Amino acid sequence: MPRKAARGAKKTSSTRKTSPTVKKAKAAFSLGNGGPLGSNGTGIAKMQEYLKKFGYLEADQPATVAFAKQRDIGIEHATTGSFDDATERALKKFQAFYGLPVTGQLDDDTVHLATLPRCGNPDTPNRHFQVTAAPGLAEFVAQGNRWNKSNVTYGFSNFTGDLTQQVIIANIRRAFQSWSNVCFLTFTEVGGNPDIDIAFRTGNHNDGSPFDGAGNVLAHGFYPPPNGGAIAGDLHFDDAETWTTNNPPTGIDFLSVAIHEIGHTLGLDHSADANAIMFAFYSGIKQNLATDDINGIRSIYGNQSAKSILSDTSITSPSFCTFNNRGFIAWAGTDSAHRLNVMATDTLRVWYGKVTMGDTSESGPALAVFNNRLYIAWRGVGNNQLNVMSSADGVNWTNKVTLNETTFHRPALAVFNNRLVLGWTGTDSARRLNIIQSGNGTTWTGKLTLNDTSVNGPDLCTLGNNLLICWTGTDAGRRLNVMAFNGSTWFNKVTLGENSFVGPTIDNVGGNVILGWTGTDAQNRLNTLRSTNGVNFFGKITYGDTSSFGPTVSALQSAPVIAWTGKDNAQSLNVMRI
Amino acid sequence: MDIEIQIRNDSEIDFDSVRVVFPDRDEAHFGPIPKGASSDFKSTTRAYRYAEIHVNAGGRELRLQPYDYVGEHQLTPGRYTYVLGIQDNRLTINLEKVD
Repeated sequence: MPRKAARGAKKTSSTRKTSPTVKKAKAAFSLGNGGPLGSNGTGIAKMQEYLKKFGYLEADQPATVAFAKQRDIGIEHATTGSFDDATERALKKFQAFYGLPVTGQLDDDTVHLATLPRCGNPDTPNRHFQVTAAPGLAEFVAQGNRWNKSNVTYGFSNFTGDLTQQVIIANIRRAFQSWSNVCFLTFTEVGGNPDIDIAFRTGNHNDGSPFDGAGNVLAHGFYPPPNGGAIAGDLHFDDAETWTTNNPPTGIDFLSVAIHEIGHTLGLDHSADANAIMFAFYSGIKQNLATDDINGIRSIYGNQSAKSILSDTSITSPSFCTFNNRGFIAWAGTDSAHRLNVMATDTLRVWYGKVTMGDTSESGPALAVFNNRLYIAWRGVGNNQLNVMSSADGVNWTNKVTLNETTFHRPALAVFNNRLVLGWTGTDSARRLNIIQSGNGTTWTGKLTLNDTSVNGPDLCTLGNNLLICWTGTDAGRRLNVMAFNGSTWFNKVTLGENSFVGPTIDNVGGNVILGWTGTDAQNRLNTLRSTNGVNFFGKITYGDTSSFGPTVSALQSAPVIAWTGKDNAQSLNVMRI
Repeated sequence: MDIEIQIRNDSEIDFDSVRVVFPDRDEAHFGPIPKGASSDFKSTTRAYRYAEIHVNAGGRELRLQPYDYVGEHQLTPGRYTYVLGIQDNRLTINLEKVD
């Protein structure tokens, strides 16, 4: 390491006058001020020698190593004397490692640093020799390459005789799903010319990395482009292994290896975290991504929680909930009849199974899961009557019940004490809150009318043994309220200092109550508060997103999400993990 | 010059035998290695910071089974030590360069 250059000790080219030392060094490198791509010369070769010597470019040795053309832990091969892409990337890593401005050019700071006396050992910008997990070690390693698109295709060149094609396809699909569940990538199986070609090979199969029979190397996944031309991103399984999906395994667990190798094809290197899928060693069935894997893939592709803006539009608030491990959104469409719609998603990026119903609503619907069925409740057009209907698959809806109750706003659904609870703001002059319950989703009894009143629809959720209701009060300040119900008594009413002109939303996500609302600020920005007891709310977040209607807080695969209708002209639906 | 590798037993128990399968199915048998001791060096032509390793100790076999060597750097010629330990009944490995 250079003696005087500490990481993070930044001086920019613009603020430091070029010293005589630097001028001399730049003359030695013969690059002038910069080093643009495509430059040639002996100075570039000298700089490359430096980068090779200290571990930023592949050293001059025969490329006999498996995957020598890959970006092995980010170390690439550069064309000597040519300022090519690999040289630029190596220079950037050098600059980043020492806390210099990452310009990719041989600027004054870089030259100055490169000319400082230093020890002869290579830097280790992103590698570690310790394989075993140990506290304090760097963990996931992003190799450097990435797919420059959000939907990556895959296909099969052949199959193994160890497993049926159906099982292989299903497990590969599941392996890709593991990664797409946590980052902003989707994967599509295609018949020809896939990005990731999956094959079972033995021995020397002409990719420069021959397999070795049973044991040792089980498979290999090539990094994403640019890397080795057409083979970039491909995934090969050693067909000499005995592949299995049995539990306990009667060979090598196919899914575990597939998830690991796909990690490579997406740009991840081996991790030092023994719990990670990307740990270097196979240890039997390991089919769930560890936090380290998730952090790693998100460092490359970002959190899949990025906001999803749908092309579908809504006249008012949508509803959202998870059913059969899928997220479902329901809304009243902007068509002239305001027909109800329901659509599913696995990751917020791809939406499918849209159903437009014959039923119509002028307010947002509510969703809940009860007795393995997805329930929807809504306010009917024309008569303002409450309606409830259910579905076993989110597509086919039956058992419609129209209640003799009316509302001008969105109703709410929740499951409490093994009963489905419907809540609404009445059409009485005071706009009093009401709940009613059902043990079967069709027969509704036990209506309770509260003394509390609301300007808009309430929302419901359960917390422990209590039902929570939230609403916007009819007081002048339109303050938000939360109250608990234990089945016989309402208690712990909390009137918050927050205000909204529309209905708030509440849900229990993993024991954390999340309260969401549209603010009364000029932009009508979305807000959330959290609580663990339904009484004390904390951690207010005000989002940049805005809505003219109340949002919905819910969960997708146990992770909190917020859904709302945007203030854009079309009133597009939005969903975002929070 | 070849790559030469020895095993050091950093565990709390004696190893009855240690077998290393390097890439290209080049196998090396290091024999018994008492706890705290190091084996002789064995030569190989290609190695990485880990390998497939089988250890027999106390009547059971412990194994390190790599997925692959993707992204790993081939060790340059010289002498190295695979430092083996046992943690939570699992074999662990670290690489040391021998000066």
